[in-house]
Amino acid sequence: MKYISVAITVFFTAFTLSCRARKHVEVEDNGSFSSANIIQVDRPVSGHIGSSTDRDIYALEIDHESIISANLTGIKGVNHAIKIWKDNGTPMLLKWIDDRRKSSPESVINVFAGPGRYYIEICHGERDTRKGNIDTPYTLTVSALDADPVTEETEPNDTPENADIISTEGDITGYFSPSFNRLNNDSTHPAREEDWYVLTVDTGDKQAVLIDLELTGVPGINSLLQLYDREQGLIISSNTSGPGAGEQMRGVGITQSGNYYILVASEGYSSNETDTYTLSVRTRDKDPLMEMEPNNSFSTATSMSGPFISGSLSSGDDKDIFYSRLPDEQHLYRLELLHKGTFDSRIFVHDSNMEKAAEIDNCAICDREIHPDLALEGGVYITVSARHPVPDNSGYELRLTPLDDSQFMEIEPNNTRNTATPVTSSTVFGYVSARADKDYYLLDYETRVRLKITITGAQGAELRLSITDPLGYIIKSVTVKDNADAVLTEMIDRKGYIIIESRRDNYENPYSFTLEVK
Amino acid sequence: MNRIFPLLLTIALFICAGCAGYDRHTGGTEHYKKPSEYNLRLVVYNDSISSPETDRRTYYRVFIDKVEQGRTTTGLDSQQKYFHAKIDRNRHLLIIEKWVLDERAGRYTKLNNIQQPRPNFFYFNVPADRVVVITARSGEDNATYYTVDFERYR
Repeated sequence: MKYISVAITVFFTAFTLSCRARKHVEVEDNGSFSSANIIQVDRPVSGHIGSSTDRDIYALEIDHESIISANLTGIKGVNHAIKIWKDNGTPMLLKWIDDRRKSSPESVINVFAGPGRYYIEICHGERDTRKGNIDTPYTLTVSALDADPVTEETEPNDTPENADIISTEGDITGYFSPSFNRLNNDSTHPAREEDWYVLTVDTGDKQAVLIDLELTGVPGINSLLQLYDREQGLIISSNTSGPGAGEQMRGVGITQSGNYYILVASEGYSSNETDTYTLSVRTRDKDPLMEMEPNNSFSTATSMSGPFISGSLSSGDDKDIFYSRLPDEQHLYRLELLHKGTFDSRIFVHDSNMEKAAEIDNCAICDREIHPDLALEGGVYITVSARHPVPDNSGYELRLTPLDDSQFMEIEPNNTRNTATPVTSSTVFGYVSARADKDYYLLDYETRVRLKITITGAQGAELRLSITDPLGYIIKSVTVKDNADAVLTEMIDRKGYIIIESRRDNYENPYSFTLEVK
Repeated sequence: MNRIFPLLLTIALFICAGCAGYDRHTGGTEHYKKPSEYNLRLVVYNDSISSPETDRRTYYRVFIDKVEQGRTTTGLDSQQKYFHAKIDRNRHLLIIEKWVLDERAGRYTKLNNIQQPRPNFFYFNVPADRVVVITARSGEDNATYYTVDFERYR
């Protein structure tokens, strides 16, 4: 019996000692790097921020490349922070995590650590009055996983200088880390946790290389994806898809070899420590028949070297601008935008002085926008955009083809009396070129004449032809459907207008009318 | 000789003046135009308009022998509006139809029957070598008076 009692006592003593060994307790004074407490991964350590000047430093030995995470429980009434230092002879600050709130936990994940000694400092945060709490201990837990720096981000990658390398055909995963980076002093986004990647592009003897970037969505995260040039000037930004959805950039044109920087961050300091994002980079040769991003401004417009070009809208905010150099003398062109009909597209046309020449928005969700007879000359800018958010991969084809203008055609815009097309031929052709289009034609004779007008409608359209007095008030009208003919005879008081109004639109087929003085 | 020359000059002037005033159709002294592009001239106006509010922009459709021939010029109701045509030498029926501008609709609309000129018709003859001028003058309650003349040289 006596032996049994001794054995039980020895067992419980050993068990108690064992339990104590699983959870470290800080040993003061550990307020300097030289007096740091040694800790190990996956073994929590508890301690106190006992005074307004207290700070606790723990030392961690890493023997191979690892991804470490640190979780620190909250202390009632205390705003605390975590600093991670690397011992390079003298300690170098890697991360400074402070959410600037009292009583809340702090955490940092996915910090890359090569072999060596690291210090983890628990200290006061900056925002609130510093005070100790000897009643509530904190618990610090450090965990580590084997690192794969090729396919995973390696924190700290918070600046372009510390950017992770990503290849031109690479995928890399990362976290929207739950941390406020106190080392980020950017005035616009102070303390924002950012992940930077550097991409080396070699254009070789090519005119340009196109880059496609895709960032997968993470639950709860409204992500931001940006691309910067070699001088770290912003090339293009994508933040359009909303929480939980990814971002993408397609066909970003790179014309000069060098390093380019990719920023991944979250809006509103939101974080997700359980789900990773994946950043994918692909490159391809520039296709003269494809748009080249960024082409969101007149100065960066993609040149159209042929009658058609392809592109895609990455979001409802995206717009693609194309430049086409046309002959200096005015000709008529058919402008078409073709897509799958999954978004509400619009086209704007500006002349070489950037003055708006036309806006084409004839239908809501449909598979094409058409202006059948646009009068253009010289350099023109064509802007493709969407009225509402667009689905992924909203590709389109833009076509600009010259019309056979050997016949007398209307000259758009001619939607008012002041812009009426002067009639100088006995036969006139025109199109319904916009929703409920109105085409005005000016008649001008030396004497009062009696005019016989024969209109041939456009297949698929319903048109009303009206003749007016010199002031533009309608005297007589006639309606035609499809390609039927109708005749109207009326006096013209030397001057008058013919108005063609569309009551059912068709942008494909022309109408015509002939004039005969009786 | 000094006395004979003024006498001969005076006689010559009398002869010239007499020839210029002679007209073989009327035997009077008027100079009537001969038809060229037209031999009917219609003039329509309303002389009872007393305020701008009621002075609407107007024209008249013209039917001759019940066939539409065209319309007058447009103008205010108080203004003279004209129509010209070349028709056969015969007796003819003229009917006019009044249209006014609906400014909101931007087009002219035909007035209903009780607002049309009364009467809205007139019979007239077209002689040879004359341009017939018909003047239709409307007054109160659309009462319309038609007068016929021949166009003269001014």
